[in-house]
This record gives sequence, structure tokens and C-alpha cells, in this order.
Amino acid sequence: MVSLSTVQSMENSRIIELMAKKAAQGASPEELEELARLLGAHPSYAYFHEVVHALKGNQDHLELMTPKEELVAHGWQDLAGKLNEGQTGTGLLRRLNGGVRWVAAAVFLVVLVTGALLYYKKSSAQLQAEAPSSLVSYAGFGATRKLVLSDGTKVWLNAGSKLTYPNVFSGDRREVKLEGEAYFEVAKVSKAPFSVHAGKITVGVLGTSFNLKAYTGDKDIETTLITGKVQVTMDNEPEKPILLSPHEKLTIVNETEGVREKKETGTEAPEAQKAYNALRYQVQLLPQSTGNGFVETAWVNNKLVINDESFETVAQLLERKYDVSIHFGDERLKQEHISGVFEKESIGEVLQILKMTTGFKYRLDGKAIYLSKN
Amino acid sequence: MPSLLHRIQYDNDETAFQEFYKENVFKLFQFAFAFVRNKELAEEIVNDVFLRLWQKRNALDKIDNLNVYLYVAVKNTAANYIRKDIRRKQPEIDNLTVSHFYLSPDPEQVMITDELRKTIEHSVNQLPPKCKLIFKLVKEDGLSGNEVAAILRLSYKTVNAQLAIALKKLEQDLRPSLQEYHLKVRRH
Repeated sequence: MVSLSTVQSMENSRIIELMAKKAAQGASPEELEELARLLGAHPSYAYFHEVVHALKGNQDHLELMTPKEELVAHGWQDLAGKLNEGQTGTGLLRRLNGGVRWVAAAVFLVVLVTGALLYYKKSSAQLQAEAPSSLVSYAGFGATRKLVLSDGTKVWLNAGSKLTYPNVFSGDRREVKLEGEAYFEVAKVSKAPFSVHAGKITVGVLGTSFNLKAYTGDKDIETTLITGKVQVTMDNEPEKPILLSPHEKLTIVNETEGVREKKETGTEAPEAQKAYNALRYQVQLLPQSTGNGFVETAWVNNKLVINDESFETVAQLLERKYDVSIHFGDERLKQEHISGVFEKESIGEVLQILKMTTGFKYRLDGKAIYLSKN
Repeated sequence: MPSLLHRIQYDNDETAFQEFYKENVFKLFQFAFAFVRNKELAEEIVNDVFLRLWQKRNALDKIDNLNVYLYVAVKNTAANYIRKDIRRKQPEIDNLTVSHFYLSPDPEQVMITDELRKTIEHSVNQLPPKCKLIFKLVKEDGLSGNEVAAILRLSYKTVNAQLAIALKKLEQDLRPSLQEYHLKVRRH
């Protein structure tokens, strides 16, 4: 004997299944008839069906704050010149005049920028010139530090990080420079965008919070946005900003690696090759948060979260957090993969725990740690 | 009046091409943006595809399904731009950004309260990226399940299953509001 509620729920599933088929234009006449009959028997689904049928997209490209008509007209203007050759290459310059439209609705955002070889002597010089009264705050290895800037912006500096910022922000720009990693809660000041220069990229926001990580020597630059909206610009390609939405992580591959890759992949079509070299990045969606927050921001709460990283990468994290130097006696150890969460453990305890899953021996000598294979 | 495509192919009619462009560019732009999330780059990719189409307009009638062709061309061009690992040919559609797709009921087609509209937008917005992209391509771009499957290189079954997931989620989220609405209608 099948209960009434079982029949109900079976019919409900069938309605959904048939609606999906109908939407995909794959329903047979018999199935459409069946759907109509079921909807007649389930009035609340009939209205749902009506609502789904009426769903349509919003023609304003909300993310970009640009209406459809404007985008289409702009695109055609660019393409028309190219149709009969002759005037190629001018499109991009023309398009730049549109400038950047900021999404003012951003409330909270967290950005992380991980590592990179830092080539910003020039931008550093510029910053000095613009802000003669700039201050430098430094958090040494094994320490984190909290600062409040003149506009009320709060900054947590992670171990081994340096922030350069003006004594007092003036004018319509708020610019700081970061080496290492920091978590920002940017005070909202309308019409005064906040920019952080870090290595070869600039992260721009208009009042909100974010976290930036740019240590010298790391392989990738990572930008992770938790909430809000942020724009990342590579300093050598200011015309191509990348917009991030919440829970997205942007990884920019280090330039020197790009040059090496180029040689290896000489068979690629020329135009693809060009684009590939210009922009080597990937945007990933963060895995669903488990309530403990995100791996990328765990350090703010003094947690060290390691999620399937190479021992080599983990060693760098440990060196900064515990102010130690780690030496690999065996190169193969660097490639071992490690996961774990550490909070109050000492460096000795951390190594003991790691030893349980990864086969290695260690010797502590003051602040130096020597690792070797079992 | 010959069709747009006929005028493009046989008369080299730029006005016809412009019309065709205006009819199709926006949805392709949205599609490209999902991959590269950069306005200028998305425009460049889409225009690149249209430029190539114009250049081979003489063979326009050889293209089996022009709509699918355009989506696939945009996807492949975008993939060339974003590929971090050059050996991996297929972009990961699970990682696409689709937060810029907004679906809401057309007020001309259905009577709806502002509150219900917000619930719908919120619910659609919460769908997983792949699910939302498929739902959008079907509902907004008017593609069939088979076409979406061809474009995203998924099976027709997967596309249907994803649509069912989207509808089920939407129905669950809307159930309280819809029941309320239903009661109101009956009271009248």
C-alpha cells in the first residue's frame, strides 16, 4: 500500500522532470500532455510553472553597470572598422576612454594576494614622491601586527610583512604599498578609492575589507575575494582589469615562468600565444566554507591552515610564522603533499604532527631546522 | 526580402551583418565574460569570433547550426585566453563566474509581487555555477537542451538533470511564497 504523501512527492518529482524536459525543448507531445494534466491537479505547481515560463534575463549587465545597448553599440563600433581591414588595433585604445566603473555597492570584501617576485622599485619611487610623509610599519617573523590608518582603515599585518602608507591620506586617492601579507578593513570613503600596490599588481576597492598577500619569492600571485567586489590590475597591463566576485580566487602566474613556458609551447597558434603570454591567470571558485572561514584568511585568527600544499610551500609558511629557517636535506621531500590545521602548537609540535603522516626526520638547531628522509 | 544570412553571404551586406551582430552579440558577450570576467577581453573575444565569421561569410550556409557554432567559437577563443595550463584544452565550467546572470519574471507575462520577484532572483542567484549557466542558456538564450549539451560538451542527460536541479531548488525556495499567493487568489 502506497501512502498518499508518497504519491504526492512522486508526482511532484515528475512535474519537475517534465518541466525540465519542456524547458530543454525535448519533451514529447505525450509528455507535454502529461505535464498539463499534472499541473491541473497541482495548482501551486501551475503557478510555479507560469513563473518559470516568464523568467527572463536582465538586459542590463549589472556586474559591469553597463546597459546592453551601450555594450552592443560599443562592440559594433570597434568591429566595423576591422571588417574591411586597414584600421586594426585602434579599438582597444578607444575603449579605454570609458574608464572604470566602480560598483559602489561593495560592502565587505577580503582579498588575498599571494607571493611573487617583486619588481616595484619604480612604483615605490612614485609612491614616495606623492606622499613625502609616508610611514612604514613592519611585522617581523613570528609576529603579526594591527594598525589603524588615518582614514580609519584597519590593517592586520602578517609575519614578515611591510606596509608603506601616508601619515595622513589626502586628496581623492588612498594608496598604500604592501610587501608580504595583510588583511584590510577599508573604511568607506566615497569618491576616494583605496588601492594597494603589491608586486606587479594593484588591487583597487571603494571602501570595504580585504586581505593581501605578496611575499617575495612565491610562485603565484593569488587574490581571493570573500565578499563584495574588487578589481585587480596587473601593472604592465593596466588596460585589462580583472573583476572578481565573492568567493573567487585569482591566481596570476609569475612572469619569469611565463617566458619559460613560451619556449616549451612554440606550436601554439600565434594569436593564442600572444594572448596567453599577455594574461596568464585563472579564476577559481572557492570551495564552500565549512564555518571555519576560508583557508586564505585563517591566518588573521592566528590559524595556519594547510590544504594539500607541497612541503616546500609549507616550509615557507612555517618559516614566516615561527621565525625559523628550514633546510631540506633531500630534494624529494619538497614535493611531499601536506594538509593540517595548526593554531597554538609550537614549531616542535607542528613538526611532530607532520612526521606522523609524512616520513622525515628533523634536527632543531637554534632557529634552524634540518630535514632529511627517513 | 532575403534573409539576413543570405544578404551577408551573397550581397556582402554590411548592414545585414550589423543587424545580425546586434541580435546575437550580447548573449555571446555574457558567455565570454563568464570565462574571462574582463569586459574588454570579453568584447575582444566576441568581436574576434564575429570578424572570423565575416571573413568566411561565403561559406555561411555550410555551418550546420550557426547559433551553436557561435557559442562554441566564443568558448574556444576564451579558453585560449585563460588557459593557465596550456595542455588542458577544456575550460572548467564549474569555475565560471555566472553572478552576472540575473533572471527574473517578466512583469508583462505574469502578475507578481515585488517580494516574490526578489525571492526568485535570490534563489536563481544561489544556484551552483554550472547549473545556473545551463539554466540561463536555456531560459534566456533560448537554446535547446541538445544545443547546450553540444556547446558545453556535456551529455543531454546531464543538461536535463541540471535543469531539474535548478527547477527543484527554485520550487523549494518559492514554495512558501507561492502557497501564500495561491491562498490569496482563492480568497478573491
